[in-house]
Amino acid sequence: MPALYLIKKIIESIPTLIGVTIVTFILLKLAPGDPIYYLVGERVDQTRLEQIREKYQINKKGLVGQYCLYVKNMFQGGMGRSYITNKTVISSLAQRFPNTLRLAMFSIIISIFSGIILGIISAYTRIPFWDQLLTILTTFGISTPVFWFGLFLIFIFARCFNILPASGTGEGEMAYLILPAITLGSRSAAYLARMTKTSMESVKGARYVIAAKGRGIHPFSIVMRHSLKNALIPIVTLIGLDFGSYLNGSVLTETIFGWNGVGSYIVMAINQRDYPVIMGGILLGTTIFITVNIIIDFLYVLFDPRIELK
Amino acid sequence: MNKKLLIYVISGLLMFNGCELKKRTYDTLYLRLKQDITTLDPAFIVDVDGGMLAAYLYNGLVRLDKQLNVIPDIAKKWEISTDGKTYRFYLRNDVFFSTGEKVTAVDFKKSFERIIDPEVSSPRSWIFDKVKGKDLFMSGKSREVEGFVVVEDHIFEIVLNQPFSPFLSILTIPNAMIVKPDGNHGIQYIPKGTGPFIFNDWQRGNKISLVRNNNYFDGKPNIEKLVIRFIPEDFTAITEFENGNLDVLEIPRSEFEYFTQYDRWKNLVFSTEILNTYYLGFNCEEPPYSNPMFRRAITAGINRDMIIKNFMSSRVTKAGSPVPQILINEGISFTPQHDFDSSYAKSELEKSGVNYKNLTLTLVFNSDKEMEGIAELIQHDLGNMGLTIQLEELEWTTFKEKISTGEAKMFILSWWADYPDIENFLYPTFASVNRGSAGNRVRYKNEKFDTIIEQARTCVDMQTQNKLYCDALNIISNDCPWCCLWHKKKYTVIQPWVKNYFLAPVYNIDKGLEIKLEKRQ
Repeated sequence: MPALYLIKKIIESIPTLIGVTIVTFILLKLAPGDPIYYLVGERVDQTRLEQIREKYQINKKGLVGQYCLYVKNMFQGGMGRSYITNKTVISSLAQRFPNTLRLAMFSIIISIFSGIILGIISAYTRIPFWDQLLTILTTFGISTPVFWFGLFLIFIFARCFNILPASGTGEGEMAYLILPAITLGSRSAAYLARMTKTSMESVKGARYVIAAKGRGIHPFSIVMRHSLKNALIPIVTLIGLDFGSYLNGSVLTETIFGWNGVGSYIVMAINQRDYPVIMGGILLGTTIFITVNIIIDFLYVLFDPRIELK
Repeated sequence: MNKKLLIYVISGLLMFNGCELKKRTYDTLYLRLKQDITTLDPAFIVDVDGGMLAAYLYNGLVRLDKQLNVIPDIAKKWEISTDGKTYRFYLRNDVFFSTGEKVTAVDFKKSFERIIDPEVSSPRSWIFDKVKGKDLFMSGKSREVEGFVVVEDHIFEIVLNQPFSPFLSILTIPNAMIVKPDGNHGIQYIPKGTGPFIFNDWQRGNKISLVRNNNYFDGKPNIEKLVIRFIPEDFTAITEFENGNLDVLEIPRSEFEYFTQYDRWKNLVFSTEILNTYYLGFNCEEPPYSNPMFRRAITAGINRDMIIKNFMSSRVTKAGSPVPQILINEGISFTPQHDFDSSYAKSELEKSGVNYKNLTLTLVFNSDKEMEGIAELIQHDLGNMGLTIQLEELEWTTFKEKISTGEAKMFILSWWADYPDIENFLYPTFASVNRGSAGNRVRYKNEKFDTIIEQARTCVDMQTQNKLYCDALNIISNDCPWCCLWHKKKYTVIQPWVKNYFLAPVYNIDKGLEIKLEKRQ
């Protein structure tokens, strides 16, 4: 059954992808701005300007013609070429995606660990201090703007103590990952902690928990094996959504930390009206979201066998 | 349980292994740019940052010294014919490309033809506008440019249609630097050059690294490597600088006071005038801006001294004409643009006959914190004259499109020199043939000015030329197609271990030969 479900989901996603390209394309064309002015600088004669326009096939053939041209370029390989760098969109995205993936993975790990642990502690401990601490931390995490928190971390750990690098990806060292990942993961951690706490509280008095206690199972084991597993569905949904959006690149975090990822690249492309890159980036993002959603569907079954994939 | 615990410990260790930061080395100079450059191919470089890097990688026939004089580069000397049409360059015979091949006159011919070649489509074809046979080659009717002549292996000649005084100056710009042409072209292509540095690596969006060319004909640079990092956020860049990870930093305006006043840095700050002019432009084809009296009224109504004093501090110098003072030689004396004078402004406004009381004018500018402040101050000044000004803030691409198409009627923009010549601030910007994307963004048209400027740029006699430039400047001061605001200065701060640093008024002067880092590891 899972294989059939997978095939069904993949087929279903095709109209979504086509729809996304059409909507993005129309939106881009409605927005003012012309990529040619980024290429030619401040001084170019009119004949040469037209030659360049011709060469890059910018604004040719009307809206439908351009869309067809775009789809054609996409299938011819590389999803078309960037107006600005003349590189294939695929290769430019492929160069940055590993960075985005690393940051997303590390951020989500941080948010899962800290969020779930905090949530469990505050759901189970009877000491008001922990509960209050959780409320303070999560309110802080949710309400602090990312750019402020990022700059704050740079100020403390790079400028004052100089123990962590402020920007760049280095040669791939872990140290470069820590500040951006904490910045990015903090908000998701806060949401997760709240969600975990509510979910855990709702299963705390369930019969299977009381039964497990009666059988003399260690409380830690009850929490991890019985309660948490049953409380996981909403948590996994939240993690999936966050992870999906992290994989699409996180513009603010990437900009603050000079992190060379997909998000800042696409924003740059938007500023330069580099249509092939914007379209490619959005298509990649949609594909990621669809994939993550399918994976989450499978995880549901894993955590709750009562759910069936149809 | 123990097994699980072990897994946690291991993953914890994995997370923090490699936290040991690599120490930087002091054989490498680290610079910062705010964003990635577009290209390193001289045929396509149109920006200041790209031009700065081109100077490290390539050479031209001639280059500029610190005083903006044209001096020999690959050409050891040159002769200009008495009619001013033929330039003969004698090339050094000890210049090699990084591929090891010797530079000959043929390389110049091929490099220059690339710029005009319709297949390459370089946006800078205009630099050879006056070269004989350019149009035939550009339209595909000829297979070579007649005006580029290989006389001997090391003698290269350029023949022009008519004399053209800024031509030597034009030859110093990055687009006129030579590369080893190998049939490739395009923005992504990085050709081989002859410069003091050799291209090593480019991680798009992250950094570019160059290594020293040990065989450079003018002596090898002191530093072994040059790394240019792209850091968009100012605060992050400042932190990297304070931590010693950057050697030179262009001071962001948000931290201007900090660097120029704080004891630790104030003696390490450098500043220079750079060749640019910020202006308030009017679309001279559209009423009410087509009326010179109305433009004069606005120009005299803006209190530039006050804006500079309260808002820009010492980061700019006031502009009296479109041309920066360094480019105006002693022989040129002219009446500068009318200074702030509210009663004169008011009387010009009344004389203009424009029914301004029922008029709402729109001032368009690029979205930027500083621009926003300037626009508001201008709005205030013009408001005092009785004009109603509405502000429209646009992001860069839309802003440029609106200006190029003439849709923006009044806007704040700047003009940056391509080469240090007075002509560069008058011909592209005000000659009517250049209306629109060729530089005349204000769509100004004055036949008398057109004739004078064409005569001036093709004139070989210095005195006559000075006289013509005076006339041209007087016309502009009187007609006010621009309300000239100021010339922006550049400020940088360096680390104490950086020696022999100098800050050039033009971006492509520095070849990176002198600068050195004096610090033990």
